[in-house]
Amino acid sequence: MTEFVLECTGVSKKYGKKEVLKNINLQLERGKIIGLLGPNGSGKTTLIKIINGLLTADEGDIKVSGEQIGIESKKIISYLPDRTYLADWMKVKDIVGMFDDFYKDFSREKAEDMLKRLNINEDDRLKTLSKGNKEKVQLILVMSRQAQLYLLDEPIGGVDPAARDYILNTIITNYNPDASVVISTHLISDVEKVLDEAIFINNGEIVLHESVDDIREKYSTSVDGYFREVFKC
Amino acid sequence: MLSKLLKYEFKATSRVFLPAYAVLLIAGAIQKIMLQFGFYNKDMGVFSKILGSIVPSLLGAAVVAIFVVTLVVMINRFRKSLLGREGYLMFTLPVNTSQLILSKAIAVLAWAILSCIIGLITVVILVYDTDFVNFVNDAIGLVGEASRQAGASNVVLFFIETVLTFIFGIVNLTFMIYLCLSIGQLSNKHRGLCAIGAFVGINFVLRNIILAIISNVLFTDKFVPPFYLCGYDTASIVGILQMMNAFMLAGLVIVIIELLIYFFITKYILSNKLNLE
Repeated sequence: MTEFVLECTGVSKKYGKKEVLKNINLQLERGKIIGLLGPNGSGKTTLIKIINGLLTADEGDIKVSGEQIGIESKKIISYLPDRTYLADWMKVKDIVGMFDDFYKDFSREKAEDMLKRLNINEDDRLKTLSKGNKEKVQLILVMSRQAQLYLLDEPIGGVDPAARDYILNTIITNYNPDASVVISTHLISDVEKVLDEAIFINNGEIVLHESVDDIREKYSTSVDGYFREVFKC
Repeated sequence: MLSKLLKYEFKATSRVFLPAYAVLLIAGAIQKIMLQFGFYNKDMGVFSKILGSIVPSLLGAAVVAIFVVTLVVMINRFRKSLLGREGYLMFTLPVNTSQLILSKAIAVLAWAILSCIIGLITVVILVYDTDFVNFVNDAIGLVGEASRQAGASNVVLFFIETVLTFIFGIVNLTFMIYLCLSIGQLSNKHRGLCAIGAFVGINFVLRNIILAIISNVLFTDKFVPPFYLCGYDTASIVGILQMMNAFMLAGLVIVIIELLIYFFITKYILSNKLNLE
């Protein structure tokens, strides 16, 4: 097993003339929960999409547990996109079955257990679920896998505070020491308590990558406070 | 993994096709019953007039609908479930791009063939009577006669090539549409417009280029008639049928070469230039 679960070297991406990622260099260790923090349009989602193979970088190299982006990397990444990707016609149990079919590391019992806990009926059609419940279903699917890298893009954006706590708890309790979790968000105060490390990203550049304890010690403020200072408008 | 993808593809598409087939078959059966009992000729007042206009138009609409639905599914299952938001799931599954493309194409081909079979069954239901049975018998006799005169193997080959041309023609169209949509998604703003542009481009420009190459490079005056049509005795039925078979085979080869080109460019774009919204 490689030391780093994710290595990005010189990753750049342009949309037309606009540079959205500029020479990103990043190494993530195993067993950490990492916040990918930045204002809207800073390049968080673009970076996550590139690591997932949904976009192609113009330059640079990415390795996930030593694997290039491809089938092997997709087997070990569990990805929660910033939008709902569920087909409306499916029932909750259909999509659970689909994950069970395609991902070897998926635990059906775990998913069914969490669905019950959040009062989501497996026989409901996805079409009939509220936006928040759809997000919960997706998060349950993603966290029911034993992946090595979890990439969660805005996992708590659309759900109520009570569900937020449950979701964050799920994240902390569901990953193992070989895996790391990347949470992209701008709701820092909500996730701060679970983070080990924070990455600040702005205008497509990484401006800081430090452990949360170091940030608190060095700048004697919370990550949220420091974020507000760095990204002051 | 392809079989698993196919399982979900058929599940997703059967919701559309099965009801359409049911409407078609039921409308066909009702129409048949009405005709059988001379319902439309009897004076039963407004009721028969209403039914007399509803059922045939329903039947016509169902026939048109089946073909429209097949085409729409061909386009939309690729556009929405791969290049739309569902693509976020499909492209992060541990499968390769070929499997994703093939699962869509195989499913739509199966439905297209089934649509034709169901359409044929509806026609048979409608026209089935003693005349029809005689007609079928005559046709079988004619094929038998042709086999005796032109050689059974030539006739069989002719039918096989006809069926293959039909099948690969559908695959060719499917892959061309996939290629256009894949080119369209390269654009950040005008996906639909770019896809249509690609469609026009492929159909008019590329086709003309291919034709120009075929007619100017491969078959200049030196080669007329084309090599694959030489050496047949056009005075005999056997010779004409063999020549037709050779001609269809050449067409089939071009159709297959085209669809392979479409497939591999699509695969390249989706593997290396994927640009999901």
